Amino acid sequence: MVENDFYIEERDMTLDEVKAALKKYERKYGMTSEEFYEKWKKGETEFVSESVDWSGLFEAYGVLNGQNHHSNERLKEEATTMVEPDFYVEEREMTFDEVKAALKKYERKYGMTSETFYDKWKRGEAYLVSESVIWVSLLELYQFMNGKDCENGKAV
Amino acid sequence: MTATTYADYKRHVRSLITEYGRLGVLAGSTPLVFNTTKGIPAEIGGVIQAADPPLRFKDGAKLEVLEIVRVTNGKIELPRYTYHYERPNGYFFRYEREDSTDLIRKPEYHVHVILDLPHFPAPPVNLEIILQVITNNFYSQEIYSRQIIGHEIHLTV
Repeated sequence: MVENDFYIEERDMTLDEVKAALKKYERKYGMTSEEFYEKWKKGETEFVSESVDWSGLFEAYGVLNGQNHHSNERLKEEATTMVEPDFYVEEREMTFDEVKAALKKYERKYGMTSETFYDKWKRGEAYLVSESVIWVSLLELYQFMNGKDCENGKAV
Repeated sequence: MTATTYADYKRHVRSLITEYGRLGVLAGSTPLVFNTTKGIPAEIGGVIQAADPPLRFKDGAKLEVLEIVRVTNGKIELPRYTYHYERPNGYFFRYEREDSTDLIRKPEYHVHVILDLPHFPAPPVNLEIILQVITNNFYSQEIYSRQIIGHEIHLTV
């Protein structure tokens, strides 16, 4: 057999390495390992690509730490402290009035109505509108919310 | 990217943004707007945007995002998108997928760099790829990023 420079090194992860790996997943998915584990047991973690690894690590953490992973308060506490205090995600829907206001902003910026822009965009003549993707998408949104057919691009 | 439903995809977007926030790359309030839109039933897709206001980076740069999303049979489609990254001094690039009547000069998948024209052909991208590209080039490996950030460009095309 030919010798080469490839070899496999086997060893156990340390408690600190397991903790670091868990924290990485917690940061990535925005939840504690305990929360993930509860969801995983209920089959609600399709969006977690590494669910097998994460659940295995969490169970390993319980063993290494001499704890039952259902009462893993220490890990939960550490995870909570990781959240950046000046960062948060705010989710909402745009209202009809906000969409109208956004369209008017683009109309003022580019000196044309949304209808004119839409005609130009359809003909491939809106090259110099930097926000053409946003403008046309908002226009469609406006017409959807307003219950109108948007083929003519007529808006505000 | 793992998502079998539109609800999964929305969770994926939230997770991505949260991850970059906790890494300290994104800062402040990050608005995410979800709306149902024309031609796409609410349960399978819609419009996702963080454009006005955009996502903010720790150094004042911004990323405007708009995606039209449709998830059918476990397949994620982004029939239209824009990801516009702009640094405080005006340098920008913008990856887009957009309808085109001139596939020679404006490919459906394209990228703008510094100027609105030309439309350079580009591979299909998504928010995950864009955040990786931005982070890898501007917010990591100090030596590498230092060769990019701070350079002045004076040019006439």
